[in-house]
Amino acid sequence: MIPTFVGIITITFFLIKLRPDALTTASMGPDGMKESSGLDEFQTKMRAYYGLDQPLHVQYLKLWKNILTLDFSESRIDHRPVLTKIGEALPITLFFNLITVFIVYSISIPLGVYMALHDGARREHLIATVLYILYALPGFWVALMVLKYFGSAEYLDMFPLSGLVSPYFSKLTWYQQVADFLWHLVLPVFVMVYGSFAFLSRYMKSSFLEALRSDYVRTAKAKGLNKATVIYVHALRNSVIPLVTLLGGLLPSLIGGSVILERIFSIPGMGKLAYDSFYANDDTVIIAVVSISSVLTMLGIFLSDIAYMAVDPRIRYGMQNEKA
Amino acid sequence: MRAPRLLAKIADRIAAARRDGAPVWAYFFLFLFVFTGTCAPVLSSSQPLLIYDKADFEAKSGLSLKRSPLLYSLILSDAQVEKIEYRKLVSKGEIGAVFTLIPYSPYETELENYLKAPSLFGSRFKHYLGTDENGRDVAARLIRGTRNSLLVSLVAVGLALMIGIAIGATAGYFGGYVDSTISRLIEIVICFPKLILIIAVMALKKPSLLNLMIVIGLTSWTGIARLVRGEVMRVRNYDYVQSARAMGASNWRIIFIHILPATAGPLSVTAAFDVAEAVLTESALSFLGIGVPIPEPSWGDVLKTAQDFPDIAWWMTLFPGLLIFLTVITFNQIGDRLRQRFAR
Repeated sequence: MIPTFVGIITITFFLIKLRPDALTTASMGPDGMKESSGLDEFQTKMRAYYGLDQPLHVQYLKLWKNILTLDFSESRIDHRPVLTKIGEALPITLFFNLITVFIVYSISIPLGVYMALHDGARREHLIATVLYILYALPGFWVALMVLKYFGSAEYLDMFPLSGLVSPYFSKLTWYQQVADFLWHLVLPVFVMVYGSFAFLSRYMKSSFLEALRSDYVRTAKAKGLNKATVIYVHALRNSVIPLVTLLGGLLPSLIGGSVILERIFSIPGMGKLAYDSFYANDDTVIIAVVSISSVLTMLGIFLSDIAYMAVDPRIRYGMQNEKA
Repeated sequence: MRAPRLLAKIADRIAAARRDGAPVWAYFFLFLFVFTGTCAPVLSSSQPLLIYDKADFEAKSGLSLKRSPLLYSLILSDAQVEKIEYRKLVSKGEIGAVFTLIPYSPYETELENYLKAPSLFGSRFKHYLGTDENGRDVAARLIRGTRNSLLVSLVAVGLALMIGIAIGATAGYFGGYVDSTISRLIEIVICFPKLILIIAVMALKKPSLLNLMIVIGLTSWTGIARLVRGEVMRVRNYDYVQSARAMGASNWRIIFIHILPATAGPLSVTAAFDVAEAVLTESALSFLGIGVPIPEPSWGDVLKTAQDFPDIAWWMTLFPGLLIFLTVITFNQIGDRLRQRFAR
């Protein structure tokens, strides 16, 4: 984990340093963008202020000192502390994604079980086809379509076009505020849910089918246990195991946020923050966003490995390399 | 006599494939996309394919007109192509000409015709799928976009395959210290937010089709590398590999001649799914405005312009989305089919 983190931070550092004079143009507004033959007095001052006149290895070590002391300093654009900016963005992204994961899992596990139990029937075939189509629909296109048909005034003016709350939010009573917030959640959460839900249901189905065909389920049936016990106690618990690892695979996008969806729906989450700071050459924010999201991602993968070991005693940590 | 026999043969083949459970429609769409991609400049062009009545025109303008401006425009550079508005001449009745599928070029703008809805009936020259905000024909842009999207995705996946196979095979074959170093590297690329990495690299480079291919390829090789690593680890202890080693074959010979062919099956499955993924990534990047460079059309690029007019321009949202969807589902189907074939 630690070498991975070092690698990620090093790559980010060099990606930033490779950009053409990113750090002097950033905080100077439109005039700073014009081509100039040399550094003027103001630029020199700015470089000295941000420590950019120092040699590269000094800057690199300083970056590590800042990361290890959790001192990310301030944004170069609006001069607010970086941690405050992330503290605003991360909960939004986490909230959205936790809701999404919750909905996805609570739909796709029962649906997968249902499909596995009716395998080969016509309705199962129908559901599978619909899921296959849902899985292939590009998310940002679906986002545009739902915005167009459910959000714009020309068709069904049912949901707000963007943002998290209405402009008159502060004047509402608390239960109206909750309703207003939920009302803004519907479209983005719908778009985030449908794709992974299709994928997970198909996955759950095959996993459950495999469990149904296994020896211990046959044994349980032969013992004369009733059908419900066999399905929900013996088969279901074991078929959920692969879904636990899938959660680890979902994590990078959960924490990093979806750049595209957050842009379309104007959600001020991590994805939008990362995108905006890259385009504004806001280096301190970039470093912080990348390091925090990669650390959380690694933690997530680590946790899902542990969860995997906890639910499946056949797997031990040392064996992982052989298995992968 | 001959043509019907050929058709019957093709029909037999299709029926046999269908009995076998092959996704025939996916093959059909794949053929359609590849055909559209390769023939894109011919399918949509403002130059007519054939001028059959030019006597009057030549007398009036004094130009020596080539019989097929379209074919000439394919050979000549843009500057050499004579700027003649053939469509106007045809609708005025001065010349008679045959156009190909779409009589518009994806780049030409008709500002007076901006945001026209699709029209199937009416005058001779119509925009089947409407026009965008600069008056460019959406159908022409989608056809040229098919070429760009497929080219970018296929080359990107090819690059990813090269990187992934090289890295994965090295890790899997040599194991030990090499393997753990490479596994860390793969881990880094996986944990790095993918789209952010792409955006960062695209911000460094000038946007061009080549850079786009390289960036997508450089960020999507991890799955392939992990797969190849696992497969190589599985295969390297087989008896036939051991006997090749006993015969004194070099490491590279063992890897390339004896091990890698055994991984081709599972690899083709991943490659098919990766193409679908790359199409999505390309269109997403073009949608964000950092994909294909500006005058070049792409499916995502048409969607991007549609985003500015969500209320009126439904044709700019619907058609490119359907194309992306069809491509993705086609490659997914082919991947599923390959998986069935190579199921162990």
